[in-house]
Amino acid sequence: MSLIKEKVKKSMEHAAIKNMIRGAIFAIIYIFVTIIIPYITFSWVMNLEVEGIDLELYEEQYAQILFYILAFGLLISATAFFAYSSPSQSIRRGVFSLIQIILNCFYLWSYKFSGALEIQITIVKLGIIEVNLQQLILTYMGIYFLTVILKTYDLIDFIINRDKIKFERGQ
Amino acid sequence: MRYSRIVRIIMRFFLLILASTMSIVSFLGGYSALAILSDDDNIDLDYDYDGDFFDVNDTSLRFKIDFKFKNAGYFDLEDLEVEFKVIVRYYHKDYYVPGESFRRDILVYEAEEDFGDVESGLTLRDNIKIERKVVMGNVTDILLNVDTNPPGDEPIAEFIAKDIIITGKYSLNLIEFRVEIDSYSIKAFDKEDWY
Amino acid sequence: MIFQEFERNPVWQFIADLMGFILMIFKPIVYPIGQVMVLWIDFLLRFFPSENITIYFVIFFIIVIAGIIVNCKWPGEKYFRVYTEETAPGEAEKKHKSMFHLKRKESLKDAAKDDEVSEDDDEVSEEDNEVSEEDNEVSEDDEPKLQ
Repeated sequence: MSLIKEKVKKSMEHAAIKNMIRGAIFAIIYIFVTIIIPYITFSWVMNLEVEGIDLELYEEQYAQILFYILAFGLLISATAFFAYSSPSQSIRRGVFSLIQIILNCFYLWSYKFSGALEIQITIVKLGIIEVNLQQLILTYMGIYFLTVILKTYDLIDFIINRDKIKFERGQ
Repeated sequence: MRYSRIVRIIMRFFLLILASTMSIVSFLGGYSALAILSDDDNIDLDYDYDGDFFDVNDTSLRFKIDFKFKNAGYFDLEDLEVEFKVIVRYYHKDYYVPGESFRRDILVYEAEEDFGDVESGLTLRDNIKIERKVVMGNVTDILLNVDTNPPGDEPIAEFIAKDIIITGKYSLNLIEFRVEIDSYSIKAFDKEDWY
Repeated sequence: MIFQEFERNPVWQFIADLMGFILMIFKPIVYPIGQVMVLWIDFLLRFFPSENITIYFVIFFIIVIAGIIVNCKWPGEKYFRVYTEETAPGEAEKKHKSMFHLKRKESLKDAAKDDEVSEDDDEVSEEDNEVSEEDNEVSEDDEPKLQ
């Protein structure tokens, strides 16, 4: 019996470590994708030149974009950590995955307030270029809605089949 | 495997395809924009001027703007529209204050052209012609009242394209762009060019 | 209006055409959904603080620390299952030949062989009783070590 207890204890410790590593990896991936890459992209746009002419992104617009990227990027990464460090097919994983997807929607739409939905680039001494991304963003939002449906379906599945999942996991 | 898991796998696969499609479209759209804008040869503008603009009786006047647009991207450029105005900028003699003149802009032409769709892999070559019959404004008045010694280094008269607006849609209609150019000098008449 | 054709990368063009086809089918469904989504997101976004980034850092750390605590305390990983008389929810009662189950598939296969297993029930239960008695003796000795 003690042998079993020892093995169970070791397995649980390994499980906790595995969970933390998995959660950390996904959190780092989301930090990279939601914060670092957009930050580099917008910084690059600020310094862009087209045919030798500098482009300007309004500074206020740039600051707002960065704020929302950082704010929602942090929330998404934190929920990703919680979700991916939870055991597979667990209810808490389902809940936090659903929250994460909804936060993704806010992240995407918050670009609207920062002006990124309609990007305006000034070509010095010549004029402006406006790029309207509304159609693109709304299409993404529709796809996210389908993902929200999927995550809700998962959560309901985890709740209804909780005992079955636990049995399959071996608890 | 539970039935619900199978349904989930199918839904995930379906969503993966959709999300991948959007990602690839976004990537290809940006790549296409880069491909078009990075090469000077892809967008070309040239003009040709025949006749005497300021001679109202000269019906052989022909101002032709040739342009070329090469859609080096991978998506069709849809609903390409160009609108612009042409003004003549000159210094009008001030008869109340001898020796002085003031700047005037006279609208002589405005146009809105719809070029439709430029499919990917095609080069659009077209032109805009300004002939005598479409010229607006009183060109005789300009000829009679122009100050041939304008202040500073200004030209005597200058054709300027103003409020140039180019609109279109790209990346499967997901991205709409609008280019606004305030003013662009087409031709300037200096003392050597003037009558 | 003159159109001239020129050559481009056929692979990328094929991919672009394929993406165009897929979007052409799904965009009429997905785009209106996106427009509806935007309405409630617009409404809820007003409640998010838009000037102070510190709040978001605080929430980040709270969620991460909560995640560490909760998922270390209840990692939910499968562990070695001691032989018991438990049955899977909704499945027929099954008996296992060995005490330790390392593979799920074996246990599910065993469930399918209910008829064969039930004949061996009596023999197995007798063996288990002997094993459990031995375990009790061992555990009594080990208790001080565990402490």
